[in-house]
Amino acid sequence: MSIHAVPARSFVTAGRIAVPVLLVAGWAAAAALTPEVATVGASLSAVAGAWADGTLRPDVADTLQAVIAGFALSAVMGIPFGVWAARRTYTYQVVEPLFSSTAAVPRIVLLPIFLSLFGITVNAKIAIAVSAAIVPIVLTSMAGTRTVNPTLIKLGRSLEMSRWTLLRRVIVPAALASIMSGLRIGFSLALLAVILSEFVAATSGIGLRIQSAYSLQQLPLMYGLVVLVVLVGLAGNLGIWFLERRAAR
Amino acid sequence: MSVLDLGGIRMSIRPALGRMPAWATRVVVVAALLTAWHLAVAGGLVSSLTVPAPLDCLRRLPGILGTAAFWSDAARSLRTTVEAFAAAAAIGVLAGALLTRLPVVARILEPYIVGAYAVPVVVFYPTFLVVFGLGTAPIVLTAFLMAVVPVLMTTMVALSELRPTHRKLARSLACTRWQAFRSILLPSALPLLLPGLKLGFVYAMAATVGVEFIVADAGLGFRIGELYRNFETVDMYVHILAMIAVAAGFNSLFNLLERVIRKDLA
Repeated sequence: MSIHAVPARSFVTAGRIAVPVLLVAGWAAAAALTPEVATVGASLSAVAGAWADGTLRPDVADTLQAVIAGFALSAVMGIPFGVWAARRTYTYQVVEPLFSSTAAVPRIVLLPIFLSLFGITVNAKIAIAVSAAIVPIVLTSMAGTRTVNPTLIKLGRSLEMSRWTLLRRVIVPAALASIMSGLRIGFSLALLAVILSEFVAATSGIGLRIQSAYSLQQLPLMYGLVVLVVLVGLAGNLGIWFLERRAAR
Repeated sequence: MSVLDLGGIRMSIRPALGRMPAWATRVVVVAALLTAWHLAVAGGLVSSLTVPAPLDCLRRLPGILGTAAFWSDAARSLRTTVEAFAAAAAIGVLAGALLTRLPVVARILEPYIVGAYAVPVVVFYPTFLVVFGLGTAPIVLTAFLMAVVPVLMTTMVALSELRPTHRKLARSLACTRWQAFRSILLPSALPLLLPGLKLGFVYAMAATVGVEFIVADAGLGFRIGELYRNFETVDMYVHILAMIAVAAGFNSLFNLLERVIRKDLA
């Protein structure tokens, strides 16, 4: 173990650095093979150019606004609801199947409903983001709360903890890991739903820009924006992951 | 879901209070939601031009289920979903098994596989469209990429949670790697794999219907989008409700499968 630990760890680190390098190299190779794939440099400079001339900023701001608002609303409604629903077995048995079976519904089919209710506005995007993000958040909040050791709750009661203290000191800490994983899934699904809804109908947003770059055959911009969305998804998850690490301490 | 099942413990903390069974309350909840929808339309809270009354949808339902178009759309979406899911299940499980045999590679790739969850795969769709052209190939590819991530991840977790006894058994029976995988490791990992397969199917369907919505000439996603653009509101709602029923149906099917397989192993 001790002999191998050091070289293995540096090997793993080197490997982890090599993965994104290989991915970019693969992209470059594909671009060299076919004109249908824009080159790495052209894609990045197309996005940088659109950012610098100010045309891209409102799109990025609108997409982020919808994703963050939808995600935050889902967390604020979904976590308390999930914890509440799971505290009583009966409520849990009633509610859990409703949420786990709606989890299977492709969320995009609800988009026309939101579009007809809110028009082609940011509110429609927020609504579709909530419909996507709230389900995993409720399900993981319930799952986390169900795993709380009943003995701990009895202990808390015998220590005459108030309901709030019990919640804050016993239930939420035990359910936290599960809730945080739900938040990460919820963020990804909110981003997915917003981008997809922007592909279908929007007045601004990164998804709309990708769609219009596709129809105008501005391939470098299109590839660059796709990479931008991937980075937004990774950054959001990394942010939640850091919060999780801090909260776990 | 196994984590949630506290079995006997759950019963002992909260004894049944003589209430009606959970499913009956669930029916009441759904009925209440439908009533609220009906009242919102009937009371003029929303215009019946934008949101049709649930009874109007119900009346239209047999008409739509009687058309060949509905079934060919459903068949198209289902075929795309199943193709993508089958590929994702096969490749995800094999790659997961391979990675558990190569722990260093698995450790290198781990953060990227976890990170792949954060990537909204559907965003790649326009690039596939450019490279592969119109047709079902870009849809299947997008749905495959969506589905393969959860399958791969749960396979890795499931195989790493197998008891060492299983591997020892394989070794003492002098199994080849393939025999050990097929006859010992896969059957014992299957109950753990199922939630990942279910998620893979759900993701494959979400991506299929989502991409159909944007660019396709058939499929339930395409049809709902087209009905929306033509302001055929009642038909659109009926298709949306049918889509929800199909999705919930597949969810129940996977749950049933899970119960059957677990009972076999118990």
